[in-house]
Amino acid sequence: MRRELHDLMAGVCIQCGAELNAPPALCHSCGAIQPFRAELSLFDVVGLPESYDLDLQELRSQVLQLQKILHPDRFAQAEATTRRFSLEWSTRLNEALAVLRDPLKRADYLLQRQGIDALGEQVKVADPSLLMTQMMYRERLEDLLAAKDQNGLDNLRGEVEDASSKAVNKLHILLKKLPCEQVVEAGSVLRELQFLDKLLGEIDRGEESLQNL
Amino acid sequence: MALTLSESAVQQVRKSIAKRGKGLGIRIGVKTSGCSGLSYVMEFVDAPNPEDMVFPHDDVSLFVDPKSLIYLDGTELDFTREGLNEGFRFNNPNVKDSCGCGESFTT
Amino acid sequence: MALMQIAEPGMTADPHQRRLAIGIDLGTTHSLVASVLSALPTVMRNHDGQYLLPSVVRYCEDDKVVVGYPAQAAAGQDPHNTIASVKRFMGRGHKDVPLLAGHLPYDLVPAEGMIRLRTRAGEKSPVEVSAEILKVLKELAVETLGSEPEGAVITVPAYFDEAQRQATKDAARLAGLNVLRLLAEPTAAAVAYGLDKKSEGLFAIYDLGGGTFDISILRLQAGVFEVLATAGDTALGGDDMDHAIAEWLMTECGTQLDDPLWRRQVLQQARQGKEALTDQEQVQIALDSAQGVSQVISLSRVQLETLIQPVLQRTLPACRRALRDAGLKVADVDGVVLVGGATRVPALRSLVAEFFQQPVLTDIDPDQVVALGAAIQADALVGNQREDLLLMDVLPLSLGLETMGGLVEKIIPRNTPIPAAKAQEFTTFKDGQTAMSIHVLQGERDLVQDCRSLARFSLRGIPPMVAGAARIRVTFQVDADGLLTVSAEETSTGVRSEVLVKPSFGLNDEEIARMLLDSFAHGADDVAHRRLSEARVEGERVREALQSALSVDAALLQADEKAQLDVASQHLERCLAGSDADAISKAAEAVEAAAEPLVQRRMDSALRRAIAGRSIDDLGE
Repeated sequence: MRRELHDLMAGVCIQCGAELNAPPALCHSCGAIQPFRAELSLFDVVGLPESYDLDLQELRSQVLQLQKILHPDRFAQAEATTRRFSLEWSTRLNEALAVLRDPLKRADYLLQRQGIDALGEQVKVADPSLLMTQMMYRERLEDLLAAKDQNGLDNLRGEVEDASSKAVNKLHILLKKLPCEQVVEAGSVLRELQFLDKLLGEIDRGEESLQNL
Repeated sequence: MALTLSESAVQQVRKSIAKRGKGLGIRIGVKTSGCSGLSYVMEFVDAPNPEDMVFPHDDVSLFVDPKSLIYLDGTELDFTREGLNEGFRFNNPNVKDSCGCGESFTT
Repeated sequence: MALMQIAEPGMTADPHQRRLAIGIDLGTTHSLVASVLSALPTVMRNHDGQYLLPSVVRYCEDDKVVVGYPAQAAAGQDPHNTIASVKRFMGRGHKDVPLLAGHLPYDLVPAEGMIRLRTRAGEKSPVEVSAEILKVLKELAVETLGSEPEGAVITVPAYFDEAQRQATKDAARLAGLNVLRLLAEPTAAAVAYGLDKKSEGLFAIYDLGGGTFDISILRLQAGVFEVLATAGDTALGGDDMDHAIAEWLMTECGTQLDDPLWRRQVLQQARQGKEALTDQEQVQIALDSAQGVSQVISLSRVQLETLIQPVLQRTLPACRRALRDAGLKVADVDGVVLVGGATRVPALRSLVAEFFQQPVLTDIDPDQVVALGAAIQADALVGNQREDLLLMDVLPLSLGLETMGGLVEKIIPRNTPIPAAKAQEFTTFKDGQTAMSIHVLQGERDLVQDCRSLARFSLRGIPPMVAGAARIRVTFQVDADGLLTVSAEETSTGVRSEVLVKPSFGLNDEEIARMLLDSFAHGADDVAHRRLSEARVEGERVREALQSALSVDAALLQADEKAQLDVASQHLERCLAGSDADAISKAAEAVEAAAEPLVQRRMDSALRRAIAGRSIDDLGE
């Protein structure tokens, strides 16, 4: 019953009944804050079209603009229901920014919207060539750390950063048209990118431990 | 027609505007509300109204709308300390009666 | 009449509707309160002109509770009943005691949950002790503002975990404060510097207090402040510098006495020496050894810098870590703010400036900066500000759940912007399992035993199914204050069981109720105390009003009227010096009655002056 009522109300303002435009958090007619609806995508939340090609500046400023209106601090004195709506929207905005600004998470999110879990447990073992690359890189990192070779680490970081921007470029091509048609290929690039991200983190931590010795 | 600011009030207004980073001066006025009929208004002025009357005190300006002036003429605005409590006080000769706390009054 | 403050354009409040708000820096060594008055963020000073309230609470023999300098002075002779640095105990359990820096002269009650201290006034939790500090600050605020504040923003270290934040909120509730927000101390500092007025930038806030070190990286864009990363060391502070200097002094002196009193004296001398070297190049420190032999040791700034260098260096790894977590390089930082009394040390300033490759911001007193920022945020939250200032915080420590084998699975990683929510699915591992135990933890380590246990609860009423068939979706919701709610739902059947989680170390409602009852027991004292302070405020007001009237218009009085008024006002003076509320009120009334002819004539003459020589045309000017 509750669910049906909810569906019935979707798309119109809970206060004045006016039709809601994007982004749907606030009624453009009466200004009332709306309940968050589970079917809204992260792109809906920030009011941007669904696409891998995203202007990160625009994304950021859009999220901040909306946070300024919807953040719980804006409703510090409001009644409980309004405060709950605000908390929900503000939470989703933070989530949207975190997922959409990251090239890896954004690609993963778009594939998940198609029902594809490219980074899930089951598919991890399937990439023998990626496994080889991983082992090579890891060995190099260990050797450089053992030798405390800062120049070597800088070079390695440069290579990894290059490889990761190449992977992102590939994703831009593969995800140009949505829904993505080459999902297998996209999935394997995604896993490569995930590994490169992790490796960068390991290089950082390694460098830090050298500096703190 | 006269409205005055005490020296301590001028200093405090100057400090406040400097800290706030903008403002041409302050507006004082009255509005109808409160338990005794009228209450004071005291605000920063960023954009004066055309009908405002301006009372300059050194580099600080006092803005008053003509309607309020009827109730405020002769008022001295003072910045004062009562115990630990610091703030502005309207010494308004027109006040006949005020509510217990003095935040609203009649003339 | 009530004194007024200047409001933003169009925002003058109606009478009795003034939106007063305060910011409180509840510190380990000192606490203070501030408010924005006529656009000026101002720290509140007590009758002695002091604004720093030592965070020391003493439970006295006559049932009185004393807070601040008098309590601090009694610490030596009454250590069990005089609680200092209680902030270190907030939200901490017995397990944490060995971690708490410094020796503990307190009598700890062995029990589950939050640490309790045995005093002559009974067992006290850190929450109750902190509430005593907050009560004093609240009273100071009421007296300074002329009425009750509508709400308060209280600052906490960016590093405070869930339990510590909840304990802080509980303490405020117990002190009768409406908490608008808990605000991270570094964010408050950035706000105080008006960094929010800039269009955008990246800022580092370096906060070295007496016993803790925090570094935070904030980003400002489009009027929104985000904490990008925080790092720090909860057992590193200005005290460590003092210890390093004291060790050196004792070595120079040639004695390593184990006498605690003597050690404390040396430590005191070390601190004074360090402070003096802020402005001087060289100090002479006179040490009395236990045998009564006095030695003078000379300490130069260069020597001091060598001694404290290890302490200063220990702050740098956290600076690097915070930058790295934020994905930034030193060159990206647009401004560096120093917070905490220990940052007055010149060597520290130059080290930080060197690390961040730029001069550091030091214009605002590093002891006041946090409270001032909190006051500005409080003012914005009660709706006194037109400009949009929005502060977005991050989760200080990762949140996770216990999984098989005593491991922690992180659900929300630290430095995630809040509010934040995350859901994770779990399943049953036995056939027909109808309940599941959920253990919520906070921390960065992988083992349950190395993290802080926040809450344990059971989800019951799961429909019996084969192992692995149930889908238990656990959702973490962290609100804008960093406080956590956990709910669980069995999704395949839609059985939903929402559980509000309060950290184990927080107080349950019964405990709060007990404490409130305790405070009612002392309620009579509080009421009397309150009446006295109100009477004093009123008496002072009458006295000052009379003085200012007489200074101008004494001539309006006849000799006998003047004599009567003098008698009444001298009586009031005497009463004000005493502490009898009724006597003060009566004396003030007597003065007002005696002053009646004066008031009447002043009013008449003012009106005559106002009307004289004025025509209605004047209004048109």
